[in-house]
Amino acid sequence: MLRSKKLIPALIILFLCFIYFITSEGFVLARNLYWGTRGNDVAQVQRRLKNWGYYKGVVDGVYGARTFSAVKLFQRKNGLRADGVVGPATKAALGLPVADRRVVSGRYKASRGGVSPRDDVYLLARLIHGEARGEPYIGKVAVGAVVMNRVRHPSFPKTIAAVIFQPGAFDAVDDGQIWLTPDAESIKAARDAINGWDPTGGAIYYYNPAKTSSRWIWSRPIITKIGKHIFAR
Amino acid sequence: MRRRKVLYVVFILIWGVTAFWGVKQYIDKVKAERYLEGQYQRSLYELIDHVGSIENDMAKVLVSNMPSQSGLLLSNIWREAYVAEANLTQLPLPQGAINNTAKFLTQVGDYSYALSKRNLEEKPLTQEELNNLTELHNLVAYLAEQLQSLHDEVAKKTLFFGSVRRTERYKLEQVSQNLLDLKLENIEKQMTNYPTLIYDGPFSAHLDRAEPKGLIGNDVSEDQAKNIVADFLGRDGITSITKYSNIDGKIPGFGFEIKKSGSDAPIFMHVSKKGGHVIWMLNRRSIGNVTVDEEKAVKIAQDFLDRKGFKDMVTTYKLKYDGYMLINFAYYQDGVVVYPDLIKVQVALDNGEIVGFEAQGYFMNHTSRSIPKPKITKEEAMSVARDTINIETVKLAIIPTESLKEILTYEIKGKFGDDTFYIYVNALTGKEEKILKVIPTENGELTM
Repeated sequence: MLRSKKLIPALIILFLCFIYFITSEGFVLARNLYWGTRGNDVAQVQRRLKNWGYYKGVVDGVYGARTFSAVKLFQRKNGLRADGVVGPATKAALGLPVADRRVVSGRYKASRGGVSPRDDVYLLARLIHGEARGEPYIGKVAVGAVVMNRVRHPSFPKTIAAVIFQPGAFDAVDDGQIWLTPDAESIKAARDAINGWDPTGGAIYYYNPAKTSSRWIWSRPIITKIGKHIFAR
Repeated sequence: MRRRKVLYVVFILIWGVTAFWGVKQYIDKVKAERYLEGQYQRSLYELIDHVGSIENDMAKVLVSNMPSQSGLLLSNIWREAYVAEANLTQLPLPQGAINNTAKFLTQVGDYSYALSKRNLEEKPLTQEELNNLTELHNLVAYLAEQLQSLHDEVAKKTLFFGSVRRTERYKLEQVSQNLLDLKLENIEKQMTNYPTLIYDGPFSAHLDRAEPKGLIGNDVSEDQAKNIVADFLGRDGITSITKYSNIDGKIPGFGFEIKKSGSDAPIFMHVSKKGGHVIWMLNRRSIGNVTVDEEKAVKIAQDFLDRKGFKDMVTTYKLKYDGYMLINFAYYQDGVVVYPDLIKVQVALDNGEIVGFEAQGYFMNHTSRSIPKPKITKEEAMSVARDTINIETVKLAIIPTESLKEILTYEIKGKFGDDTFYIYVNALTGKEEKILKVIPTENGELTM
């Protein structure tokens, strides 16, 4: 029963969205106007016709008899088929927008940065803090750079989060150190790595030779050594 | 007596085994929780990423005038929506909290799929379809904002999903409540103070895929390289230069650590073996009060490049953060901006010192090019974009493609709604090659 209680507000929202959809300007702009239609677009047509002296009634957004005769008069004077229907040609003659991308540009909601890579900076900083605390600064940037190199490498996942949380990829994720709060230096290093500084020369692996038990990792061609970590291809 | 001793031993043994078993169970539980948390977090981040991509791609469809481009973008959206939905449904949220969102994503995917399968060349998008796409775009943008606030909540806590499971066992409604509360929160409120940054610019090719073209000159020894380091930094105050390691990547060279008197942090630098070029430099000393303005910082960076022999470089992108100014430069030849030849210079805004330098892009790509004459005129190129965006500027630019080729294009910058777009039109074929959308941030602009 709890479930249906939650469903009701959801349905209301859905319904409101639907109402918004069908009454919103864009839908209306695309349609033809004729006797009986109502809406802002009708009012727009009435306003134009009134300004130009074709229409004598009130601008009320209701397509009635007076609007009908005004439209027909306008169509006749402008060499259009006098059918009393406001279609694309009549709209164009009235100077109203017809099928045009700029129509949608008016209603287009600009990006307010809803999604921004700063999330990635913080997540990468967490990994760096968990993996390379106590390493020299350049070693921290290097750990971040390995993540960035993996994101671009065909054999690894395509996003920073997917690379970091790939099962077994990083010790800091397995032992929970990634959940420590990153310090300022880790955040700086994450930013440098994301901005393209790559001290590893394109490495996609690193390991601490004193700690690793993996034999396989030793077979990777070594690129460079920074602090306690060896970086490899 | 003896019997009692045996009993003790047996008791201790049982106790020990139970304790061992318990501890092991506990460790396993913690491990499993961490693993799960990681997977949940990954799903959340992936969801955020994909919804962001959908928003961008939808905006690009509205701006694109080329049926082939629109079709590509639409099938991208279909794929992204599918993955986003899959990730959303991986999250440990009660059905009620995500039902509508999951359904919405599916609809976005289905609609895009239907449109992408049509021959857009013959039957272009109608006004109504464009309207629908705009509406969907706005809803996706709204969803992206909501996800952002959820993410901000997650970033504040340790083991977000895990803690919810522990403290409110089986009462995951809490999360859904969070979701509902978040929707009411003021979206403009900034939770984190970390500035957003470019992903190395939209035109950076991956190092691993090519051989450097821009390295010229004879091999240098380690001692010669040290001299180059000193020259680059201006010699003053250098107390030591030590090699910390060789770097045997795509650009083989030496890694140096440099100490300077009066500085609280060492400087790191990579000098290439071939030609003795400085590939990158990082100086992360602390920054004092800002005294240098943006304009001056750009001039300092430009002069610096001139002095180092990088002639004909133009500014393409600027970003100010944390007391630094990061400026991207691209090579400029015969009136054409060559984006692949990229150098980044970072200026400290306290005293105007160069504290960061990164020229991997330049040395990987720079070569003497013979740039072809455009086959279509500027006017013709503009006609591709005129119907969709309000054109502000047009210039010739070379951009890299996914397949590591370079193409000559007209870069047309303009506005659609309140967003700025770059449309790249092939200067030889008139084909729309790429669309970028500018995302304004607190500190600079990001293109995606």
